[in-house]
Order: sequence, then C-alpha cells, then structure tokens
Amino acid sequence: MTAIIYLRCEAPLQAWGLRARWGQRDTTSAPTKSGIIGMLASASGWAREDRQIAELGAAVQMAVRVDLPGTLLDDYHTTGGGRFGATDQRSGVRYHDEPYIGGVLSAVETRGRIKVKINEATRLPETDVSNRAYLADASFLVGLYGAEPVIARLAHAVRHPVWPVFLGRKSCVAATPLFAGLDQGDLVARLSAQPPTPRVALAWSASHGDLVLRLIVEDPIADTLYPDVPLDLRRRVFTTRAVRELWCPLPAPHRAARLDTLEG
Amino acid sequence: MLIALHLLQNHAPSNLNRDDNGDPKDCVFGGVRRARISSQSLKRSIRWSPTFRSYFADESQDLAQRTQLLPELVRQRINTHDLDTESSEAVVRAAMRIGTAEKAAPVGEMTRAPRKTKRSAESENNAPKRTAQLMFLSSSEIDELSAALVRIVQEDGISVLDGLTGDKISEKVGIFEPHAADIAMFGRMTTSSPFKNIEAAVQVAHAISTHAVEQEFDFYTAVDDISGESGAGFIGEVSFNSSVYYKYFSIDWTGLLSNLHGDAAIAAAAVRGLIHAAILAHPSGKQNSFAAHNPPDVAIVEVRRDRIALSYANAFVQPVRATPQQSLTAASADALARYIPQLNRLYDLHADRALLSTLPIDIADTRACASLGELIAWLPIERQEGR
Repeated sequence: MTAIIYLRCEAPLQAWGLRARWGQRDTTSAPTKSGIIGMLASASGWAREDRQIAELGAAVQMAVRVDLPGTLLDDYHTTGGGRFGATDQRSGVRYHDEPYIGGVLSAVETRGRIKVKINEATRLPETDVSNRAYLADASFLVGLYGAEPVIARLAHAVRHPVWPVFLGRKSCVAATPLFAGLDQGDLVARLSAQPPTPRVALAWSASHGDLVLRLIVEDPIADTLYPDVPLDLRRRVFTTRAVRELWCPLPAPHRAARLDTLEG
Repeated sequence: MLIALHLLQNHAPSNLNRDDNGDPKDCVFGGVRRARISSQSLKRSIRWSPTFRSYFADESQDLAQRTQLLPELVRQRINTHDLDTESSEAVVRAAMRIGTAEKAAPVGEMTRAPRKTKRSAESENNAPKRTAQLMFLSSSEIDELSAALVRIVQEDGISVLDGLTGDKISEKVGIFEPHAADIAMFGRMTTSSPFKNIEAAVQVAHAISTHAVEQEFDFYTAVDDISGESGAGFIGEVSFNSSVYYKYFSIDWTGLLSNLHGDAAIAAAAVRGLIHAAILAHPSGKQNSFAAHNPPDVAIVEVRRDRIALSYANAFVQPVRATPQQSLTAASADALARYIPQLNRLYDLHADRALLSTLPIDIADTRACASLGELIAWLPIERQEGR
C-alpha cells in the first residue's frame, strides 16, 4: 500500500539552495528534495551522515505545488568587522584584548598583543561579506508519495520532531505547522486538489492573477535535472533527479470564487 | 521542550540594520513591503550584550570568539613553557595545520618561489600565522590544545610533530568538547577537525514589521564652521524608518542540554540569559545618530512539549494600520492576541504561556506577569530533566 504525506512550507522567509558556492548562497523557486529530506531527517533525529537519508530520498517521490511563488530577497550578510556597543572609537590601532568587541583578528602582533585587522582604505575592521538569497512571502505544498509504513513514520516525526525544523535556513521559522495531512491515491491529482492555508486563500482572493498553479513533479523520463537528491549531507554529496513542470487549476471553491470576481 | 519568545517592539526612527546601499533592510510580506532586521544582526546584538555576558561572568564559563589567529594565540600560551625557539616554532606550525591535512614542510625546503626583495621575505616570515578558517574557540579549548602540542614536542621531538598532518594532530590531542554556553546556544561550524561542529540550539527569525513601511530620508548638511562660507560644506542622505517589529526566538532545550553535556544548571542560566538579553538588546546600527533605544511593549514566552517551532508572523499578513483610537503597537498587539488562540486551536497545538506587556491585552490561558523578573522566574526549566 502506498500513501501521501503533505508538508506545508510557509514562512515570511524561506530558502532552498540548489547551486550555491561559498559566499553566494542562492535559492531556487521551490523547495528542493535535499531541503525537504534534510528537514525530515532533522525531525527524525538523524545526523547528517546517517545512511537512512539517502534511503529516504530514494524511497519517496516528491511533487510541489507553488501556491504563492513569493519574491526573491537578497540579504547582505556580513561577518566580523564593524563595532558593537558604546566603545570608544579611537583612531589608530586597536588591539583584540581591549574593550573593543568584534572584528576579525588577523593583523600583526605588536609587543605581545594582536592588532585587529583594519582595512587600509576604510580604516574599519575587516569584514567577510556573503549574499544570501531567500524567497519572501512564499507558500508551497509539498507532497511525498511512498510506501505506507515510510509515510506513517514521517508523519509521526513531523508532528513530534527530535530537532526543531526550519525552512532551508535556521532563521526561516515556519508560520504554520509543517504537517498538512495524509492521503492516498495519485500524487499529482491529490496534490492539486488540496485546500490552501488561510494566508494563501487571502492572497488568492485578493489578487487578479492566474487561475492555475505551477507544479514541479518528479518524473524519470522528464528533461530537467535538479541536482538535489541527497546522498551524504555531511559531505554535501548529491545526485540528480528529473522533474517536469505542470500546471493545475486552483482548487474548486477558489477557482469558482475567482471566476466570479473576474466576471462580476 | 521548545521555549519560544515572541516580541512586539516599536523602534523610534532608526536604521538599526542596513543593506549594502545603507538603507534599512526590508522584505515583502503579505504582498507589502516591511521593515526587517536580519537574524544575524539580532543574534550578534544578543551574544555581545552586557546583559547576556553577565549571566556568564564566571571565569570558567568563557565565551567564544571568532578567530583565524589560533596559531598566534597558541604562541602566546607556550611562552610560559621552557621551549627553545625551534620547538616553539614547530608548535606554532602545528597549530597552523589544524583544519588541514598537510604536513609541515621539511626544514630547508623552498615551498615558494624566491621573493624579489629581502624586505618582503622578512615580512613574510614575520607575517602572523593563521588557520584555514574562522573558528569559534573558547580560551579553555586553546589552552588544552597548546598544552597538548607542547607535550608532543617535548616527549616526541620536533621532527615527529612536523610529520603529523593536521588530522593526525587532532587525533592525538583528542576531540575538543565545547565548554562555552554561547557555542552551545548559537552553534559552530567548522569544516574540519578537531573542533566538532555544534548544532545551534537557538533559532532567531528575521524580525519583520507588522505594518507596511515607508522608507524615509534625512537630507542633511554639514556646515563648515571655520571657513565662514554660508551654505553647506557637505550634503548627504541617511535613510531610516520607524517600525513595530515582530521578533521570534526559540530555544531547543533538549538540544541545548545535549550540547552542554547534560549540565542543566548552565543550560538554565543560558536560557534565562538569552530571554533577558533578547528583550533588552538590539542592534547598534546608526544609534549614535538615532538613539532608538526602545524595549519591547509585548513579550510572550511559550513552552511547548513538542518541538514545533512556529512563528506568529501570519498574524500580520494583512498589514496593521494605526487609527486615531489605536497606535500601531496596540493594533499589532491586538492582532497577535487574536491570532495566537486561533492558530493553536486550528492545528490542535498546546503550550504554556506567560506574558509581559505595557498594553492591556488578554490572551487565553496565558499568565500575565508584572515584571521581567517574574517572567524569567516563570520559565519551567529547573523542573525539566532533559526532555
């Protein structure tokens, strides 16, 4: 017997990295399989190197309904540098063991004390800069299809997580519970029919947009490859899966309501 | 057990956290632009606040610092031992290899092409030695590492130490366990041994405004007092806004205890310190010009048995508006007070709650506290046995 579990990913900010390198952290337009499996692993209490993670990735088929696509936010993130608190801004040299707090310690040692590294041009402590992309104001419904015992165990893990779950990055706290129900049947058909959250329903009723929603569905014979199937999260090893983009109509009551407003 | 803190905090005109254009950070929420303070900015202001640090004033609970200069810190500590120069240099070289798989270059071998000038060759030798990444280290961890390296060079000799790769060194000295409460709370990520990665027990969401934000600009001029010219010597613009922020923090009590190896007393102090600091601290961006030191008007502490981290941001999907009868802050508090029981009932969730507020709001099944001390004392952390 097979079953489906629905996971709702809705938060002011969420991030699903697909091809990030070093200081530039990207997000793709919908939850990634590695992100979702990682979240489920966290809820299940599996460490990053646990073999069950790769097994879970292979055991479930994933589809995502994009209820609200959100907007892309690029966050300018600095580490080190600057100053904090009401310390005196002295000109000249700063040392790491003075009341000055913060900054990257990497400059020359003078008389047994380490200088805080100062940028020559700005005369401020050195800073590491990264850019992190987020999806703001988005909401997704993820459906995972697999054998009933696997799905049942995931449902339990999500409602009683071992570690608190977050949507991509730790600062992305969910605004509604992750668990959004269990179901049976054809993944795409059932996912398309699921109701929205109150927040999504509000957006649908307020907008004058489309009558269709975007679906991203795993399909072995499709053309687009996403490199987001986790094999080893500790060493960041992934393999690819093939996905297909589909469109489904808004769930019935919302579609009817939208048609009314368009005609009226 | 998951302990969550929700705040509503109205800041006077300010630019506490800015992006690469110098403008206050923002984001879109509920289809409308909001003011934002980044998670990392909030975390840093808490970690370095005197309030937080005072909970760990005891010397044995030293807080961690970021540094690439581990080898230099090791060099300072080995001065007290009776090592000859060569042995000291070998120890410092060994500290450089922490985090890599390299061996030391054999003495006499040229590892780089010859430098053009004598002076630059000298300055390269005098350049501070560094490790590969920025690491969080507590003083006691650096003490242990230094002592272990000195032991190796004294017992086994320089050539043995030089022959050890970074990984072998970490094996020999053993894996360090964190002793710093703030590492246990805020985590540490290092891509190589010997310092173990620690998963943060604390989650801090980006703070967003409960209402639509208008970016405002302060056009300023600076007049030259000495030249006697009328008119401005310098003109510029600073952008700012005033917003009611909704902030969310959560602490995974079980995770924190596990990071602190079961020490419930330190964990309890850490939780109290975090709640106290999260309420009183805020980022310092542009505060010399704006001085927007405004504590929160509403603080709600929530304790859940199931570790479901849930933000109440959706209470403000429809941006709050001020009216002649009600301030933005009061309207935000009302929206939050209505939303909390609604959401929890809808999803069948349960929590114990306590509230501290300057505004008369009423939330069902929530203990209203008269002071911050009472709120912190209410935390049911002493009674927990590591669940």
